[in-house]
Amino acid sequence: MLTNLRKEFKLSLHPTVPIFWLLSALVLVPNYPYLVIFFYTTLGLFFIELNSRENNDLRYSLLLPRSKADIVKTRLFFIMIIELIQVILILPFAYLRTLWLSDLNVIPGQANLALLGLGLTLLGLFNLTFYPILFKDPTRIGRAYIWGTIVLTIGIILVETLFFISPFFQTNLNDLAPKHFMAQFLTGFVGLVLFFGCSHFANYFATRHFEHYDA
Amino acid sequence: MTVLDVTALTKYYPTFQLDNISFQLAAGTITGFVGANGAGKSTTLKAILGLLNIDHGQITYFGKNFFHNQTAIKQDLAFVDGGITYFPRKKLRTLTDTTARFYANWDAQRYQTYLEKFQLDDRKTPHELSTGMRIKYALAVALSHHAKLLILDEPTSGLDPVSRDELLTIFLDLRAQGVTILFSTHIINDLQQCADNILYLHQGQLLFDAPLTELLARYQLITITDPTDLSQAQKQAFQYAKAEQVNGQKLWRGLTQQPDLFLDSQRSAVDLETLMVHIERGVALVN
Repeated sequence: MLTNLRKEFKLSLHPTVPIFWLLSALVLVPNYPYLVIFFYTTLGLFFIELNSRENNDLRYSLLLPRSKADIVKTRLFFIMIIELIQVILILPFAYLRTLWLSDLNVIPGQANLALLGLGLTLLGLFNLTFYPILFKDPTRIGRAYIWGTIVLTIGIILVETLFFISPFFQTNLNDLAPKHFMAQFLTGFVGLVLFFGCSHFANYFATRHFEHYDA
Repeated sequence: MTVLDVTALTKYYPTFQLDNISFQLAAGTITGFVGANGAGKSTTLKAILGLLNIDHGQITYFGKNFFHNQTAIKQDLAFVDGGITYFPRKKLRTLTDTTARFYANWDAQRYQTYLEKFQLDDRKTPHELSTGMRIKYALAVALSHHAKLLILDEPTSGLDPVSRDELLTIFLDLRAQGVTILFSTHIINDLQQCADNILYLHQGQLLFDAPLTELLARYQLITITDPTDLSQAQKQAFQYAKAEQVNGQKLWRGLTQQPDLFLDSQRSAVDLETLMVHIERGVALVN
């Protein structure tokens, strides 16, 4: 797996991905819809797939001593690392925010552990949509990305709506007070579980599709 | 020893079918894989490399079923298609460093030897290399993991005659070292120089699988001025006939497996290219 991951980082990582990682700093913007940060993450993943297609990455990978299942699993693992780095990078910026800004974000959704959980859930849903469609035909990246972003956008709208209609979201998640730490921590944990669960199924369905693909 | 054994390989497409292809490659031989455009050569190569899902058939490398041992088999296998087409802007050094880690038998010393032999600068990118140099790089990588079987798809296309000759010499050296080569090409003269066997694919079917000398010995080229002068027996023996203009004169040329029916002056030896052209474009005089 290390050899496979090394290949992904050395050959397949698109230069925009580290730039998008830095957009975790958007939580320093006083009033901003923080969930949009995760849209940039998926844009980086889209560029990775475009880059792979233009560089004949798939042909290269298929000719190496690797199985198709191994290629899909490594790609999913690689993008999960990218997504987790994006989410983890929010933490230091969220801490800086508490030092520099005292007001809450006017737009619902604060830079707290719940944001990480909600972001991970959205990224998990994106993975579950994007990768199974992509591996049906890895040359048709646009089609997969459109479906992925539709799901992501619906997810973001749904979460933002919950901040308006759900007392749990309004009281426990849309706050930075320590008394809500446990609710926010649990949201973060559930998000992490959903992220791994969705990505596991994304790998399962993507592998099934890719096994039938003629390169 | 049989390096590759393909049995009843079949792949269906809506408008094309690769039909029941069977052949074997013996160790230390060069096999030319020929056929007109669209005959199914690349499809066959892709199928035996596992890039395509096949509908029927068995593929066995080194006595092992390919579908159950793909990862292990690929350790001893290399595919070269007109030079590397992947990651054209990455340095060869980076590509090699990444690729080498996938092969248990990677031989860094041997790689350096081939870099020097082929005069390759691994600080360059594939984009900066000529077609010939890209093929040499692909061969250097293939040989550095001690590939026992090289599958080459049009490796000499786009090369000048000097580079082609150089590559063919390399192939002959490799054969002497026991490496098996399956070599698809449209440049038939290249095969006359180095191939031991010929696989001839025609419209998705394997028409010939024979040693080159035996295949050429099967036929003689017959040249006549007027086919209406031929007897019925001669017409039946005059296969794959084709009208040609030679020095302003219209002549009929065809292949025969019964040369004794024709005059010595009408007969000549056939080369592989002529054989292929007549098989693809010739017609029967008698149905």
